[in-house]
Amino acid sequence: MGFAFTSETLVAHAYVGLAIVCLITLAMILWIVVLRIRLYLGQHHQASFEGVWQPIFTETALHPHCHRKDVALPSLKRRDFFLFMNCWLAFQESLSGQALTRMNGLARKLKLHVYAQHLLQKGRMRQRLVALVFLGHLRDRASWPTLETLLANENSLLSLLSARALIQIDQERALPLVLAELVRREDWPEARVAVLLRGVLTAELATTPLFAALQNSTDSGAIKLLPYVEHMYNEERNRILRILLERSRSDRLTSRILKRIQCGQELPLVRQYVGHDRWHIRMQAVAAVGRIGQRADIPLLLQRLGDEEWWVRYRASQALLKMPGMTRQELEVIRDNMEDSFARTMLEQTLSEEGDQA
Amino acid sequence: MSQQQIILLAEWFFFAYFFFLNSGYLLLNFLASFSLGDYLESRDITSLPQVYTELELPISILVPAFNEALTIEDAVRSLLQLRYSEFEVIVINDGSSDETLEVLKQAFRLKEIPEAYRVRLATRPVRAIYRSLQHPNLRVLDKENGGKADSLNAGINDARYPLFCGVDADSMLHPESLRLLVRSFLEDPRTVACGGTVRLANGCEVKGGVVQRTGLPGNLLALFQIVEYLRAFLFGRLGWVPLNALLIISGAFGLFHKETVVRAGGYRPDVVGEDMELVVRLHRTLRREGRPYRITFVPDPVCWTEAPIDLATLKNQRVRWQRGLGESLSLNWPLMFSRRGGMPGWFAFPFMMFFEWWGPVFEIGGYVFMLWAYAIGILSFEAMVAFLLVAIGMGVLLSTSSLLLEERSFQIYPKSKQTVLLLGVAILENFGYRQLMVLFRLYGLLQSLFGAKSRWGRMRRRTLG
Repeated sequence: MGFAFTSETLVAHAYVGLAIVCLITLAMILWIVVLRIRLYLGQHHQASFEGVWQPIFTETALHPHCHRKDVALPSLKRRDFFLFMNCWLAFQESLSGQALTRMNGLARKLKLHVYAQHLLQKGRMRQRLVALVFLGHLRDRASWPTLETLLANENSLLSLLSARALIQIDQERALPLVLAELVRREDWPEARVAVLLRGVLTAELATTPLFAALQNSTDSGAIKLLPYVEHMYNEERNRILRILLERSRSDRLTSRILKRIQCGQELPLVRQYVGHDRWHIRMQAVAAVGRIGQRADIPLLLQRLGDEEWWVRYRASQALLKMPGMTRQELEVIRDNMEDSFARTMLEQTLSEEGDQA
Repeated sequence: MSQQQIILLAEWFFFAYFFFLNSGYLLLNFLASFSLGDYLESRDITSLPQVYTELELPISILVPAFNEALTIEDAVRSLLQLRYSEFEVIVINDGSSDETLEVLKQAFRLKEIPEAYRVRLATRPVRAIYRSLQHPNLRVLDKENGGKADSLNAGINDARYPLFCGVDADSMLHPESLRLLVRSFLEDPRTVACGGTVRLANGCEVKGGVVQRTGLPGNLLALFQIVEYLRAFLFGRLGWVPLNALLIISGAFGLFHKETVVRAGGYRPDVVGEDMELVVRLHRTLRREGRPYRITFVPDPVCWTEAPIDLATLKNQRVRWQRGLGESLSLNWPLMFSRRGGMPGWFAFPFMMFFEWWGPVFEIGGYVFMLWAYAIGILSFEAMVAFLLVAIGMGVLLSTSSLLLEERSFQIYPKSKQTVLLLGVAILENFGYRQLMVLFRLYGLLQSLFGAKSRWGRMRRRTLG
């Protein structure tokens, strides 16, 4: 027969295929069994390891004498170094103050910093990441050059964790490096950077480098740095916001600056944006007027109550309520006199919300 | 063309189909394995949920409800308990004919408010908007009946936050579910949608709408579906993520960027699978506009739902899904092989069309062809059995590889005997269950071709807790 497969050929091919499929399936089942056994053994080993070391961690964290050289520690096998680092990190996260220093002393006494430095250079990705976090917590100055190199690494997780370690080791020295890298890179997620810088950015430490970085940055760089201006001294903060607003060519940047304006001095500048073409800029400008505006701004806000965008109308009605001396009764009168039904409904909603909150 | 040539062609066609189908799924599992490895490594190192709190984007949770009087109070209470910094819950009562609205009014002390409701997506008229006096972040929209998609659109119109999350009233969310999903948006600003993994709660211990302890059900049908969810709905979908070609985000739980969805026109109210249709349309629209975007998926078990435990309900569910798939693809034809189609247009769309939408025709056609070839004597009994064994063997292989991935990652069933049971089910499901699902899908395909009106999917359920 001239068919693609005779029955015999088909059977032969099918059985070869079946044998291969069965073998792979069996290998997978075996793998599952191995994973289960490894899981149990790993859990058992970890439990016994923690049984030995957790009391030592607690003792070290609580008592100053514990990491003295003459205090004997249980032997730590090399194969358990990585497990120790993980347990140490988990414990470390819950501590503060002197307890942290004593935990660092314990890790150094066991020469774990040497092992971590080795992992940082030659470990697999996961090991390098753990080593980065570990050395950061240890404030290991010897690792600074390696960390500085890793800060520019293509892998964003490696570079971010290096930034964190550098900050932990020396905030003042690290901050300009990290801010410059933040402006340069496109792959650092905003959220992670904010987490990284949280707690580090005090006004004293942050004002000068941030001012300089913002002044010299492009619009896109400024967008990245803008969330941190809250940490600057008020005077410098207001000054740099004014500078940026005057020179901004990006709608996104303008909108973000307006969102942060808190100073009445900027009111004339803000008013210019209330009628902007882009609705999100109008919305932020109207909200800013709500924060810093005067009664003279009421007509401007009433105009925005008829805006084509819901959010602009909403923010305008909220801003009206915040105007100096504005009362609920006055706003009710304004509502009743409005001809625009959109504006009236919006004022009604704001009044209702305000009533609920009261 | 002679009979011999036709048979030759049919043989080649079915073998090629069989080969590409299984290779495709194996490749997806392979990709899922890499994707999962990266995800877990990154999550291990940086999972510090509390530090994200200040940066989390506010979320509007939309809960469409139609005749849910029995379950709606518990569902809303469990949503209000989610651990997240800023969110609002908007229940959309889609003209229920039971006491749904009354239950909500009493349970949450609702007060009608004169909200300036903005119609950005056309919907059936909204009759009233209520705000809870107990929970400032709870609102209820009462509207005329228009279906689930119409309700979601009304919810989007009323949503105040930049992200919205569509949730089925009967879904049980993990308390950290919003945090896990929102990370995709925080870490990559191109993200426009993120799906959550839906797992089956049958056999689990549930309290106050939250899964307390995982377990396996005694019902065989539910057990089959657990393995199927792992194979098709977890690792099958995860494989598309690195290619940015995920075409399905379950309506039970997905997080979307509101403005992008509004720009794309919102949910289509005239289809059964509004969730899938929206995702395919997002791909089509964003690709056509040349906008960089990402549609992703979180493999952690974040949402739990109850699987049907009787054949009639299961059949209805699968028929509905198949119809939804057909509509989603046929309404978005221009994506396939389009110039800017990329991975979704050149791989995911054709894959879904040939192997998922039209798959039942080819699969059943393959079986029928084998039987026919045997009947007219061109195929021996041994050859037919061999073919069937290979088909079943491939099915077992795929299910086992999914179990292996589960074992390497989440291990949500902690006991060894549960793993053994699942392995047994992974083998057993290939002897009848999968073939039955193909039949249900074929029925759904025929229904979609000969058109039946879309309506809310109902399901007979037991109360889990």
